[in-house]
Amino acid sequence: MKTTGFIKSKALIPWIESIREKYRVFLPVQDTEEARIDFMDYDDFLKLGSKEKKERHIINFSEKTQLSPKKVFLPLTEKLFDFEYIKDTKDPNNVSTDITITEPDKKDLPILLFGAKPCDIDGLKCLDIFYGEGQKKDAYYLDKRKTSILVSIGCNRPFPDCFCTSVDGHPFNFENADIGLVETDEGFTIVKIGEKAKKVIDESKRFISSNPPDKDFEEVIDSFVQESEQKLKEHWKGIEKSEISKIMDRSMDTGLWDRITAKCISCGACTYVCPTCFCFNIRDEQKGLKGERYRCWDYCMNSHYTLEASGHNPRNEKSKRYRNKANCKYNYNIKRSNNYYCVGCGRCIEVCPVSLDIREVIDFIIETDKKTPIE
Amino acid sequence: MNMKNRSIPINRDRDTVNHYLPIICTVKKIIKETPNIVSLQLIIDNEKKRKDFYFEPGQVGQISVFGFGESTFVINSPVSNKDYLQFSIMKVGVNTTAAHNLSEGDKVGLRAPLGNWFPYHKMEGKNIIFIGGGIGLAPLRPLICFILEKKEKYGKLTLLSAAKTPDDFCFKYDIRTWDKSKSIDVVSTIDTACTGWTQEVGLCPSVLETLNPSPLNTIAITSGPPIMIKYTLMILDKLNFKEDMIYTTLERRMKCGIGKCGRCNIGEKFVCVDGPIFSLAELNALPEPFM
Amino acid sequence: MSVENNLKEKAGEIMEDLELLVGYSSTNLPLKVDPVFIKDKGGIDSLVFTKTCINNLSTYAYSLAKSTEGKIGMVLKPCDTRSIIQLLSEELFERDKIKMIVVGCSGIIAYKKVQKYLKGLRIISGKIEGDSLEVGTIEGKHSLKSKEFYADKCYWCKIYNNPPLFDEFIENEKELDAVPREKYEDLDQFESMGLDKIYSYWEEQFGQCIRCYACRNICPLEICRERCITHLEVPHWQSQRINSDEGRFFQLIRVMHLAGRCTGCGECERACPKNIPISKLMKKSGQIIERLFDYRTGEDPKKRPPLLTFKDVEENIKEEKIV
Repeated sequence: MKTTGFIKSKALIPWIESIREKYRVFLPVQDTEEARIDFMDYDDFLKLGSKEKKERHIINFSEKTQLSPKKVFLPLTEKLFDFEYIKDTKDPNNVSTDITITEPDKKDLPILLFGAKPCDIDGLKCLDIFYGEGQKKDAYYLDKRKTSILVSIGCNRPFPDCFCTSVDGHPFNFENADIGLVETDEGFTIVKIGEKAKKVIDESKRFISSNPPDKDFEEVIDSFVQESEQKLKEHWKGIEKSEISKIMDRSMDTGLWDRITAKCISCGACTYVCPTCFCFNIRDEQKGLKGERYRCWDYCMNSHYTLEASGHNPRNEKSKRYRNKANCKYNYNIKRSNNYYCVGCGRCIEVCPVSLDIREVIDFIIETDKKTPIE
Repeated sequence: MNMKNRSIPINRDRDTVNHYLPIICTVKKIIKETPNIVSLQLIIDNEKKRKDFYFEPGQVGQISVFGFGESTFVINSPVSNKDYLQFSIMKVGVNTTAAHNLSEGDKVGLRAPLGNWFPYHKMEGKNIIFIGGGIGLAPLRPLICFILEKKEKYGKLTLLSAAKTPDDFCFKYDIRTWDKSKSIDVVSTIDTACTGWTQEVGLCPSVLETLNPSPLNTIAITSGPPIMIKYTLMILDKLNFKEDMIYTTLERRMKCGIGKCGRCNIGEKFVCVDGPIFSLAELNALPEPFM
Repeated sequence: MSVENNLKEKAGEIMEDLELLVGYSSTNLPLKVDPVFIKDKGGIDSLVFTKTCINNLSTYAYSLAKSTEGKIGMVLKPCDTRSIIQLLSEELFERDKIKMIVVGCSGIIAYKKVQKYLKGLRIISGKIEGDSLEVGTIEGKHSLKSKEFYADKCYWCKIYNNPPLFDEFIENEKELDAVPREKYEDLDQFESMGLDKIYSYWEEQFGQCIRCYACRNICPLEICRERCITHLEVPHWQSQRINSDEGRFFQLIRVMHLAGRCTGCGECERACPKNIPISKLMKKSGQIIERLFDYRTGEDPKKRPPLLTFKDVEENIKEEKIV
């Protein structure tokens, strides 16, 4: 891989400090006391450090975060607009009201996401495709993404439950990132600078040395790539996109899914940690004459998801809901945009309270399909 | 969305890129259709948007009663009517109850037009049988009005309109007008006999079977509660109607209306974007059952 | 290993009376087990019983009792039987619907405790051999002592070898080697922080809550699942906004719903994807219930939970005074 610059480890924080005025920087932060790792606003990170002992929260690029960085662009709760009923206060007999709607101010700084892994960036790409397709696009998400800069760090040490290479991913895929970095001993080697990132790189020249400390760095990086690829090859065989889509179409029998989901408890844990799950709910809330319409994350596994006002519920059973979720990732979106909507990060497997493993589910479906005679 | 065989309307209502923002409308008139259905006639407040508004028969809109939420209803006033937009609402839940409590002069929000529309070009030269149960007549109304305005382009027209009791018929005034016009054969049926009712008696699917319409060069369009659609489709199959000559409108719980919240999907299609109008051929090709 | 073999033997004996047997089987994921639903004798070989069998399988008891015609067998640890006893005390199903196959326990490794020791680093390998627990992260391997990483409830467990209720009991020759502790010792230490610190502690913790409802859905006693007050539109008790205030409100709803019913299995905390220590709140509520009503959950299926009964005169609560 060609290298185009080097950021020393000790230059990282000064660099972030220098761009804080122009960008909202997000980094993965580990809470060593409460055993959590999540993306956090750098400003919040500083505030935490000043409140208590500094060693409690540390920046950690090697570990996988619990929640994916999608929450930076699709917040857990996001205001859509405010509304206000206006009454004629001078004439109490006049019961008619007018309504005004106010869109939220869009004055936030552009976002710089630092330290996302290639699988997380692939997840954001899936959301870009989904929210950006069709005639009517999602303005709130796309406005944030338009000005954002994604800085991706390659995976030198993939985890046992990672399987990005089985779903068209790669631990050093920087295609969808704006800046690609490889973490080496003394810092970060820059291996990609995209169009969007040129400006911030130009403004940060004094933190970037043009040459890596060791002239064999390109070989070092190539060896990292090969090692990671080798490890991931042994993880999960997976299956080709068009194949799994056809098999899933043939495997809609609810009896099959009843067996698969017997232990599922229909919570939202797997949905909320997934980098590609895009579903949300829209609610109105009002106090007095003023109110707000907001959107918040929702999970398709809950029994109310498709419940209609009449009482009819097309997905009443848990097996149908999980069938929809698995198909959304390995079938429907392959048909829509020819992409797996699973990036192989393994978060759902780690977080499931009953150890429901999507890889086992897909393997079971493939096995069952092989045994079923073709009509 | 496959636009190949459909006319593309010029959606002039695209002043804003933010498709979650409704436009404000005033309730001009409220008509009580049945004990639990009202029709709201809305006028868009903004003059330019009102002039530029354009929709195709079958398209829907999301009406916001601010503070309660949004629900999806079909725009059932004729496309040629530029005075107001009409939506018919059955009282079933929180949002619809709030809509029933509106008065003339109240303000609501509207996001429209959404979804696809009836492929009326494909229906030219063919006979059409419309089958509507209860409020299922609402999506059929704009299409019937549209077709009656250009009657010469289409073949024999029949309407089978079903309701629980004589009081539960939606658009009673339209049914009378259509019946009198002789341009469309109107058959009305109620579930069980009652005094004063001289027309058909029986559930919609069984009356359809008795009517025995010929499938030759005929398109069937059905709309109503899920259980009625299920049995009507079974009868249409029995009567040898082909899959691609049957259209239906589907309902799903919707939130965003623009195919972004992921809630209303059936297989890889979203009911708010690729529907709510589907041909039976399209539905049978979907991996997930649509009922 | 002989515990496992005895379990398989016993399961084989009674399988023909059962429509379904719920037990544990192994999984490739380090330090975790898989709940398994066995319908015939052929599946019995997959049963295991190890120190990682932390799941409380009685979470499936109510829904299976409702949806299965025949009898259901369940592999349970002695602490899990408390949940069944509590469900029976609320008359949610008949006693003979669930055949309880209880296996004596010598301590259960708590995955979250190991994660906390590792400061949040992901566990990529885990092996238990006798008393030693070997775990690995991407930073390296750690050799730990099993008995220091048992679930909290193991340290005051008195029933590990004599469960309060069972149909079949499989003894474990290994003793529980956890150093005994006082049940409410950690609560007293926590409360000594003072109200201000306690409030900001919970404010920070609930800032992490994402309202996934894993805690509610895994609880054996919260059979309400989605018929929960938090989802009601009318009256609209709770906002769907996801933030610290709403997370705290939801947890307090749970505490009140489970007051006098929670058996302290700790599954809610284990299921939480954000490691929020919610069982502390449940424990506190249990402490208050014990003091006010002299009632301990999960002991006697004939005793009704105190908040589900009405007494004209309470023993420990007098007008304007708590005795």
